[in-house]
Amino acid sequence: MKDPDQPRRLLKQMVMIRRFEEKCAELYQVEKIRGFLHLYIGEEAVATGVIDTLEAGDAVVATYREHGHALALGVEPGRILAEMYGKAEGVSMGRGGSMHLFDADTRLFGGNAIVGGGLPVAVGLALADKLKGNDRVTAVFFGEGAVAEGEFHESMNLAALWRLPVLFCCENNLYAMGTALNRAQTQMRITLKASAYEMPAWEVDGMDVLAVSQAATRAVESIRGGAGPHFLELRTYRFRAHSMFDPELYRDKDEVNKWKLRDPIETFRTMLEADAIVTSDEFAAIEAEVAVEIDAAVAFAEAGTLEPIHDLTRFVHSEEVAR
Amino acid sequence: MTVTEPRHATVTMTYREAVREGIRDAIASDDRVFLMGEDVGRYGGCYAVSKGLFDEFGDERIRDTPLSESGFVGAGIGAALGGMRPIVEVMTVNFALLALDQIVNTAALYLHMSGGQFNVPIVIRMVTGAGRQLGAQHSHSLEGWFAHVPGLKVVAPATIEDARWMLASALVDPDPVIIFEHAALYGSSGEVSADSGPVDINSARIRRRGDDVSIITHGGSLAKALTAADELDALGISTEVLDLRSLRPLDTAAILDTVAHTHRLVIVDEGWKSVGLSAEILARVSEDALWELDAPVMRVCAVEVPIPYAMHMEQAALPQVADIVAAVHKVLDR
Amino acid sequence: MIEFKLPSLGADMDEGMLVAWLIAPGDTVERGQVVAEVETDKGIIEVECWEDGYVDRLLFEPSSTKLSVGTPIAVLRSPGEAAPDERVGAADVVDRAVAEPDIAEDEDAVAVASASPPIRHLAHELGVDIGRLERTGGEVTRDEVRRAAEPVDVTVAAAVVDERPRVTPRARRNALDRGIDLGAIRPSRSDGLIVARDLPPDEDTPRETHDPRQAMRRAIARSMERSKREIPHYYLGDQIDLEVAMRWLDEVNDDRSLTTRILPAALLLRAVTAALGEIPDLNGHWVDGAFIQSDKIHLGVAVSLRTGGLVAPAILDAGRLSLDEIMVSLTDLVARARSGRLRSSEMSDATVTVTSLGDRGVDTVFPIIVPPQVAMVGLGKIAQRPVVVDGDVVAHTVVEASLTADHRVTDGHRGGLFLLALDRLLQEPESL
Repeated sequence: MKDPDQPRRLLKQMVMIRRFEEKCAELYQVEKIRGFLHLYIGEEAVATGVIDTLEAGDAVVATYREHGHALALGVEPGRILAEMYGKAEGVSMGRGGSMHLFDADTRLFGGNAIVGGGLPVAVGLALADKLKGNDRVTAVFFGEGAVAEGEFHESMNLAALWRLPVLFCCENNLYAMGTALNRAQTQMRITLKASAYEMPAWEVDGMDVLAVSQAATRAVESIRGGAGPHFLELRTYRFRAHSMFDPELYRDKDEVNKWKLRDPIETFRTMLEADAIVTSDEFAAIEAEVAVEIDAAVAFAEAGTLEPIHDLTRFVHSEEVAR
Repeated sequence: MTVTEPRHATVTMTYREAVREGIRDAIASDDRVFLMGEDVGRYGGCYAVSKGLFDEFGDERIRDTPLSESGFVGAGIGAALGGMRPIVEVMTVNFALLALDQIVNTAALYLHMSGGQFNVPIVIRMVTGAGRQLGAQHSHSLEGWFAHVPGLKVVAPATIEDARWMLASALVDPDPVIIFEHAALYGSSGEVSADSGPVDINSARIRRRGDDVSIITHGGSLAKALTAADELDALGISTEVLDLRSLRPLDTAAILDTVAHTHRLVIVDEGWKSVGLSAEILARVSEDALWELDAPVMRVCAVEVPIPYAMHMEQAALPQVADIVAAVHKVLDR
Repeated sequence: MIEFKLPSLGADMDEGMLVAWLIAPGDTVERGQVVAEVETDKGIIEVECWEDGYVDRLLFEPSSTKLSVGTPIAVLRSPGEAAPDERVGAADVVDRAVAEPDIAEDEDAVAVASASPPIRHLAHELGVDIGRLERTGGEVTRDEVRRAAEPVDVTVAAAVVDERPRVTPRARRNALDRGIDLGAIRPSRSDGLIVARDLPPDEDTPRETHDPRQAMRRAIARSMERSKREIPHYYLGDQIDLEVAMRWLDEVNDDRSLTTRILPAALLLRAVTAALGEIPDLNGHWVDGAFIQSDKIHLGVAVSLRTGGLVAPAILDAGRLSLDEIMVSLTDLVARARSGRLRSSEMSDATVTVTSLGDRGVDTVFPIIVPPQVAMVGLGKIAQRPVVVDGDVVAHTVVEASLTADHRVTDGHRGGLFLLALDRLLQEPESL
């Protein structure tokens, strides 16, 4: 392997996302976090594997289930949690919340809570890069539910037509909220939709972080080489409900349990232990490190301050003009 | 002996040419600026605004798009986020309804939702208005919808000078600006001072001074208001005409000032009355200038009906000079 | 409507005599208010009213006639009820709306104005009396019924009922500041609304007045300023011999009554329109840097007003009018200009203007063009002058015709052709 640190890095990243999301669920239930909360548990391998292949300067556009993407990009967990607390120290100063994590430093352009809404933006970011002549890539994440949106098709067409450096990452977790893919689409081979736009498109096991990483690496290299947009369908599953208030009437416990057997963290850890790449002690150490980081994040969020109400009308217009 | 000031050189051009010159200037002077939209390139623009620019600047900077309003408006937003200064032309406001998600949910919100991190310096131009027998789906005047949304700036150039220079100011603005060009104005012409430059896009302007009554209007209705004012003038009624220019933010001070001056108000808007721009202006007058009013306020707006095709019906549905004159007579009771 | 009936003031009272009314039509009455004095067997008793409302009308004058208990003696309106309004006939509407339908009367009405059953039903629903519709004939239409029931009538009527004066916010604040009793103010507007100018003048702040003469002066000032600022004028003049024309006119007028005579002014206007037909580039508007020629000649005629000031309304499409028609139009236009009843199209549409200051004793006029027009014709006094005919000096009737035109549109050569044409046409008046 070219990058000897990668397995441990990927494993720790996924554990970080898992524990962070579990903490969010806990904090939601004691009302520290409010609004909608969508957890990424079960899907960690997707954001972890794709974002690990990106470089500084590349852009990410994500959905309302984007804590994992922010963490994978390296946004401080404390600032993400503070955002959910509605604190001024949050990534978006408490103006965004769970669904609207933005970070200029890592070029995270949301956190878009309109299904399909982030796709045209990603196309535009890539257009800017192309016009400027740099070799940056924009990775845009969206669920399989977005495939039914007009904005999906418009964006795919524009990106292909203009050969823009976009990596389309369809996180296919089988349910758009509660609507199963087979109840929403006649053609369920999502990659065929990409093929309609003459775009290279691969189906990837989204529960296998190495497979995700390898596919993403190949796609990103190709995009950077000027081959235009690529499409990954990342087959994954969310282990928890759509949001915190969802009795999951639309799927069987059996189905959930079956997918849990393919837990991306467990399978990866088992594989690494079997190959003696990461020992159980090392894994325990990862868990311990993560626990410390999460405790620190909670402490940071708790200690955060509330933005004064007299600042309410800030950020409607840019301050250089408005003030 | 009298000394006369040297008169500024002026250039006569049409509204269409003025907009085109504004675009040409912007693209020539700033590498980040490009024009994107349906048929802006080879076709030369549905209203021939960008005619000739494709040959001059090439297909990267005069970029034809597929019929994907949401897609290319969103792409403009993304490009703006990525450091460019896109001018996105949506052929007409009617089609902009297909891009409302991007305009309202993205362009208007990103600065706020990101806690001030991501401003969206996009300029979206679109044609508005009725009067050319294009039927109900091509005759909307929905400026007020966009002016409803915090985070957007909305301007309506009604004069050749504003058509020429508002774009430059909009491009300097770090936030999304929507420019509404009334279709009926493209052929109109007038003089622009040769040495003028970017104009303020937050304020209203008095286009005619008067004492007896104020007409507040914008865009395509300004010419009608001025014609009405001429007719009224001949009858000894002195009319002040305020051109709003900016629909968001509304220049409340200018609105209150003219009401405080004449104490009588007629609002002319090609949009519908109900829950519209005219209602908002009137609300502001009620809030802050009620005690200045010396007569009931009249609104001259489109009749509450989809704009019909037949010419006589369409004309009857839209504010006309005679309606404005009649409204003034009613307000003044003479 | 509430019928106020003579009350029974005791179990043994059957009748009473109305001695005095303490209310009058239009008054407000409140529950418990004493409204009349009635003499009974037991003496004069004050009668109270048990309704809130307004007095619509009194049905009996005080007299020595004995009235039975229960006789309606007055009609009241409850507070929300609309008042009658003579101007719009709303009383009928309102009455109908609240009264029981009078089938017989409706049937009668149908006999007069024929209406289909659905229309009759609609009329009944809206409280419209079909028999009273002002109409020219034929079947009554749905629209007619609806128009007769326009709600605007009711609101106007309601305004009259409301004793609290209707006052604009500005006038109200003004009155409050200055301690003026608004009840004593007579509104000048036709809708009864009290506006600021209705208040007595304030010593400190000059009363807001509208002086139409000043406004007109300002309008003239603006227009003329613009003209002299924007239009490069050139001026031409020509003395036109009217000997033939005046003689012809005398002959024509010989057969006519005083009221149908044609004035020289009309003949000159007719000649001007004919000449403009030959030189059309003097007729039109300069708009946005270009001349737009008009295919119709809307001939502006400067009319000085007796109150001072000047208007120049147009004889619309004068190019198509015969001499007689021009005469009629001119008389009508001058009369209406002087009484302030001009139509807006007449005020705005002139494509060229003629000014005549002959009756002011002026020999020659040098007009200033009215923007956006591009020419103006001036006519001086029609007078006898020495002219040379075949080498002899003789006295002829002449007029000094002048032309001012916009040099952006025409040159002196074209202007000269116009005056030449005018001269030629006036030598053949019968062709006009």
